[in-house]
Amino acid sequence: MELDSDVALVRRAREGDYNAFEQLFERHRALVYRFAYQMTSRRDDAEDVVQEAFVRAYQNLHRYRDEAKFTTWLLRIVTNLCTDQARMSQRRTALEQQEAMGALDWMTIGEQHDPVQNLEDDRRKVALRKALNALPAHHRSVIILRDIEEREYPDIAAILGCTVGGAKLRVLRARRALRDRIAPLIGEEK
Amino acid sequence: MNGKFEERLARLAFGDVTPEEARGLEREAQGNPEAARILNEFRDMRAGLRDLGADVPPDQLSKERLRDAILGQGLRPAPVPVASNRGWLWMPVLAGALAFGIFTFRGGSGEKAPMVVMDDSRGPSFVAQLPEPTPTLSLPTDVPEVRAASSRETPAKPVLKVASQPTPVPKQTRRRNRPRKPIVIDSARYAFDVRPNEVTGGDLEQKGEPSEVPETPKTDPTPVAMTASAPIVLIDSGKNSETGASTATEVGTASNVLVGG
Repeated sequence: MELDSDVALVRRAREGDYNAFEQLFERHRALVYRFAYQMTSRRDDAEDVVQEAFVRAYQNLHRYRDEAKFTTWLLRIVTNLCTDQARMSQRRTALEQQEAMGALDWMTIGEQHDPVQNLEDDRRKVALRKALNALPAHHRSVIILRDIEEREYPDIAAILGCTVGGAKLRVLRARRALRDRIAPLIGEEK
Repeated sequence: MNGKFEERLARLAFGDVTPEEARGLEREAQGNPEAARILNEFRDMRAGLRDLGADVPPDQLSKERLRDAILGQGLRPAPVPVASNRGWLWMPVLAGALAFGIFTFRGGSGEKAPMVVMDDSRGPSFVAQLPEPTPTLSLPTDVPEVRAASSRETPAKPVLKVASQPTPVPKQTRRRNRPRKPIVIDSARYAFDVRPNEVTGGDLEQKGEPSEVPETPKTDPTPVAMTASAPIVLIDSGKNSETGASTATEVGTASNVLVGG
């Protein structure tokens, strides 16, 4: 049973009640972590993103407007962080991308802590994961929000800062881009 | 394959169409092998993405780690934006306080010292107006000196200044319930019979014959009428033992004052 709503906890946190902010962290960290993990495909990177997102949220609590959902606001922060991280990582992962195209790329994608487990993953899932990671951040984020986290279009629009129609269009384009990337991989697997 | 048709197939595969539209697209796809292939690809993609959602390792996040990260950056709880919501309140409050202060002090400073109407034997009555503000009020010790001072071009050193021209008595100097102009009678010059019981204060009993009726000030177009309810101020010949100034007494009404005998 929720004792306090997100809005109430945010207000208390603004007034200096750090325990209220910790409650918000405990309540939403799983959702934020799942999204960050899908965006980064690495647990360590996802944890760093989650921590940074909550630090930024704490720092900018005074900017949060009560009329928006707290999770929407939080996911927006995470989206921006992941986009920035992807942009930074693109500059130094040219070599990593070459490795990703290699034969043993299934070893580096997903759960690095258990390569044996990776061997048992479904090929389609591996190919899909690879294709998703290869998408640009702005396509990847909407695929994750809609087709993995199954968020409604108004929420996605609020997170992206666009209209509902714009959100639907972005999702549609991202799906087509993903399909274009996965098709050759599935063909290669076959 | 038409791009728009492919988009509709994608929407069908991901459940973003109405039931009626779904039935129509299904019929179209059945008759088109390529459309059916694309529809299956999108459906497989949707199923695979759902599986990816469940394939997330547990995190190792903790509240302590977050707290360390926040404190490590030297962050404090975000200040309560009181000013942003209510900052505008200080302006009307300040304006109200200023207005209150202005009216209060104006009311205090606006209250002029009591007007003393003195009779001048040489002509119309002068209205002695005390300078403002006047921390101490000191009347000249000798009435004739005041008269002499009034004739000078420059006012004498005594604080009391006599206006060179008579000015009408301003409204705020009038006493309450005493709207009529006071009638000034110099007791040193005029003898009158005053019934002691009806005199408000001071010994005003003097014998003698009244020689004149006080003249109306020249600038005052309306003659002073000694009506039954008009107040009368009597200036005594005696002096105040403390200040040395002449004393004046206001008579309640003129009903008991006989002028002329």
